Amino acid sequence: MRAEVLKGHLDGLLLSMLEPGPIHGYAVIESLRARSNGAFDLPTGTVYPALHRLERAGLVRGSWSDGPGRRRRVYELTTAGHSALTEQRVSWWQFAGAVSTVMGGGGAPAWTPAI
Amino acid sequence: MDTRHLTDTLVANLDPIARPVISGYLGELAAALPGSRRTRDAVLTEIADGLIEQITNTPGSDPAMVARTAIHTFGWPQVLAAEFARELTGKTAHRTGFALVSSGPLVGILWLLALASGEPAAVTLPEEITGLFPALPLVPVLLLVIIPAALVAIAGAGTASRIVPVTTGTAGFAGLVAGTGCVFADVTLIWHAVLTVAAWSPLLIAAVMISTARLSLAGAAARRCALLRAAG
Repeated sequence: MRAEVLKGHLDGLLLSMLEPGPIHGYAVIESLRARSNGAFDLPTGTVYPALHRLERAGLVRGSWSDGPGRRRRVYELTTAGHSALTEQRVSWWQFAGAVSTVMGGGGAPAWTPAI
Repeated sequence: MDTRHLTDTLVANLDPIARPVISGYLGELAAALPGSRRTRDAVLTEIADGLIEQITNTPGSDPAMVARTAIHTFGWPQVLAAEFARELTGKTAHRTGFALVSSGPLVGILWLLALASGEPAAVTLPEEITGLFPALPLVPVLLLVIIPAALVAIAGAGTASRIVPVTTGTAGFAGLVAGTGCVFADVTLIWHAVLTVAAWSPLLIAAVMISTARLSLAGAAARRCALLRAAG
């Protein structure tokens, strides 16, 4: 899937990748690729500045961890990040449901993940 | 540690053929990224970690080709540097604005007390303050510029950035204006003290020393805001 299709949804996707717990930048990219079955194969260079943007906004917190052989920057959601993720999920379900209805997809998505 | 030494250290565990390719990419990234060395080193360390992961996950038997494929996924170093510069502009402006807003009242009160200490005891504090305006007409004008600019700069990052829709470029410009204004205000106050006060009290000496330190820090912060804004 092209990167521009994800424009506007990247922040929500990155926040959801960080929801299970703290991970480093490259693991965010891999996790996004794996959880989308390869559909979201983002250019690596776009993800690091995006993580810094979320950090600047106070939605994620970055810290250094000394792994085997090298230092890594690890990111985790802040309280504000958790709230922003919840808001973005609700917004997405409403949007996806409306688009499905208009396009004849049979209304809202059948699945409703817990908030 | 200089940038060259850092990039060499970061890629030390890579294949010797891949090493110069990655090191060269990191060198170009460093050259295009303004800001403090600590900030630049942090970005380089993080990107090097990502590149090493990318190389590990890229299939291929030619290490140089694998390294080139890895850096291709990161994009042009100048483009990546510009994206980081935008984020760093917001953070730097936020810090600059916050430092000025939080230090301003303390420095202001110190100056008021220092300049008013030579007045007769019968003069009240409001009279002392209004009495300073004709002698220092530039300072209130500068404050009218510095305070709003510092507040806009604060919105470059953190909670304020989620509430106030300010771009990093605007926040960077506000940080530049606030920092430069602070330099002018401190120079004006120090110059006033040098020209008008004959016997310096310990309070005035403290005010001059604090303002001297603040104007150097504010000048450096304004310069960083300008450089990062230009690169972003």
